[in-house]
Amino acid sequence: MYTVEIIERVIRNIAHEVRNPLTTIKGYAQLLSQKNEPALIAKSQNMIIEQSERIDTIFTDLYDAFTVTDDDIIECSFPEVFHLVVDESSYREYITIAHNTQFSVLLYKDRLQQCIGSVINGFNWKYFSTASLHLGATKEKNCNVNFSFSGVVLDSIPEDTFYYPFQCKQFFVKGTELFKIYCIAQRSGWQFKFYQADNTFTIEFPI
Amino acid sequence: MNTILEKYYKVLIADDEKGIRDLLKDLLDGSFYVSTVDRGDTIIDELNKNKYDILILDLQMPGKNGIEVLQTIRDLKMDIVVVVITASNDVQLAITSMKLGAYDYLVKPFDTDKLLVILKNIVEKLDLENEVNELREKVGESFRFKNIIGKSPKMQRIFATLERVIDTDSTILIIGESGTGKEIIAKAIHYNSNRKQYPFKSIDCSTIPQDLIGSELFGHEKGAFTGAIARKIGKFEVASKGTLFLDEISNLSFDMQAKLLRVLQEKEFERIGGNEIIKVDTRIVAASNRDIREMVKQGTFREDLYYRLNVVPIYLPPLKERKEDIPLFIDYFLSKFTTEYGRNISLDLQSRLYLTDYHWPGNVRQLENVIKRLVLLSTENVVKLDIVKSVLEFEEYNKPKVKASEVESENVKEAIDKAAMNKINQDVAINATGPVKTLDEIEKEYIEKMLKHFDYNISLTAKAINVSRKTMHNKLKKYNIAIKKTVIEH
Ligand SMILES: Nc1ncnc2c1ncn2[C@@H]1O[C@H](COP(=O)(O)OP(=O)(O)OP(=O)(O)O)[C@@H](O)[C@H]1O
Ligand SMILES: [Mg+2]
Repeated sequence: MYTVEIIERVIRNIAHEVRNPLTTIKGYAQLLSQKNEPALIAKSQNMIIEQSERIDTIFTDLYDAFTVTDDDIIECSFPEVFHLVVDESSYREYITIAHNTQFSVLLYKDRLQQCIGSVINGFNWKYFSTASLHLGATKEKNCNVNFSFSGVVLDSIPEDTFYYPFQCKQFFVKGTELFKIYCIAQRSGWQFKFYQADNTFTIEFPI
Repeated sequence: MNTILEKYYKVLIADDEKGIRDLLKDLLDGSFYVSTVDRGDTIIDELNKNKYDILILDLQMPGKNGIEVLQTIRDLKMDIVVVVITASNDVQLAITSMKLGAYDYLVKPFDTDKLLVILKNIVEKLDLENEVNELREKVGESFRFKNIIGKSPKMQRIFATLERVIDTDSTILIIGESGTGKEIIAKAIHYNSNRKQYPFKSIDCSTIPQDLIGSELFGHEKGAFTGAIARKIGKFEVASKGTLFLDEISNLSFDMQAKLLRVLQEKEFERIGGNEIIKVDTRIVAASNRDIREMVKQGTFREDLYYRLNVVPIYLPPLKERKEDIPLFIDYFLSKFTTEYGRNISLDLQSRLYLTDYHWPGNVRQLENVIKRLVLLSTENVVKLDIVKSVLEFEEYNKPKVKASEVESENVKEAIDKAAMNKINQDVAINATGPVKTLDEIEKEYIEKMLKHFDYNISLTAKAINVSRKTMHNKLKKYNIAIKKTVIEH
């Protein structure tokens, strides 16, 4: 894909996201001038403020997705690195970790932790309450970190190496979670991919 | 009255954005019955479960996207008008959705005014289609509300509205003159709804002293005020899951209006003197014989409460505006009271015609009383017109005078000497008790006398007997009535 094409798609995607709160703001502003029920006036004002804040959040989340920690390549061992993130998470009850393969590699450990956190803390567990996630790592030619979901079908996420900023809104809370991983992968020389048949996300590191 | 309000269409809003759902609901509540869904894959289910007229559809939604929904609607040949809204300005999507049968297409952020215009056009289209259906229905004539009489278009329209909303939780406001059937409609709503196995409770706000209404509605704790010797459970609580009928709501004090509004908004309240919060799921049906809109304008009724109550307004027309129903009422009450009193009584044709044409200031209740009295008083099996008249006269004496506002205000009508008209009415009718006359003969005689009264002014006479001038001319021709004076046409 050409850079301009990517820029165009990204802008289109962000515009789409921003237009919803804009519609609400515009609509309530128009309602304010038409009806004068006290309850509705108060509600309109609340909605306008709330939706303006949402637009701000959209951009905060975007910046956050672009921000990659400045860390060093260090030794990182599996499955310990999973535990570092999962044990801190309030969703650990939904997550299992594979223990059959244990090994160490050199990589940007902080960034990997960010990616793991983005998936497990960003997934919409509240909505998909029957879902669970299995974390595992393999080492052959390359090293693979796998996020396998079950109890939910991630069917609207395409098998791609590129994700739009708000593409995974249906399954993730903010919507920018996968985009964030995509950004980190790009800056770190990793490959990030989704395999629909396995319901699995994979981050691939060269070693 | 207001045609938009009388007809009540159901709109389903499908958008995954809470803000948009809220906005559209606030925008359309009051003009439509509105529901919402937040996922694409629940839309078709919802459309199958409840009858909707209009779907406002966001194209990008989790579960199933809008284009797929449009395809399903087309494949299942569902009878619904779809307006598409989307945050993407991809022209191709617009074309695709129109091809799939969407009625119109709006790009976010859209003007709410634009949406309202689109909806207004849809309402006009649906109104037209319904009129055709109503005509068809008239032949088949089916009503779901047992024991409620009404084949007139006005009543049929009310039944149609009720049918749409009966199983929902929406508040219903019934406006109608005294005796038009507000209470019986309120009961019919409850007993035909899915709340029927729970209580129906009513409270008449005009007869209970205002300082007691609060405790009647919400109950009180022991010792809440002097005289509160035990805990009392209010009607709101007793009717939980059922229906609470607030009769003559226009009599509620301003203070009580505020309290009621709070309960309707929060769906919870506290007993007087108590602090336990009680959640209620009670459907409210309110009634008034005054047009509350007027009271809102005058500042005697809270506007916010009015909007809360007026979710589904039902205007019960005075009986004289649904004359088609009068013969049905006559038969219905005759059979009711003859069975009740074990008598075998019927009415002769002239009596029936007379009753059908009567102006019924006391509406259905008055008609019911008149028939009851006739059944009780008549010494003969077939009731004659003179008896009917004397019973009506008696009724009128015992009824409060018609409200000033109801007296016709049209200039021409004011010019009519009412007494003289009644005299003519009587002359024609009384003569009819002599040798039997045909209806044509009665009509001819009637028109002649009216013409004479109005000095052979055709326009005035036509207005007075409520026919068009064209009809008047036709009648003159038909009965060969000569105009005795130079005709002055206005
Ligand atoms: N459509 C109808 N079908 C059968 N009976 C009716 C109908 N409308 C009214 N009635 C009867 O007429 C009488 C008066 O009706 P109802 O008490 O419901 O009127 P209302 O509008 O509540 O009057 P008010 O304002 O005086 O309280 C009742 O006995 C009721 O059963
Ligand atoms: Mg009543």
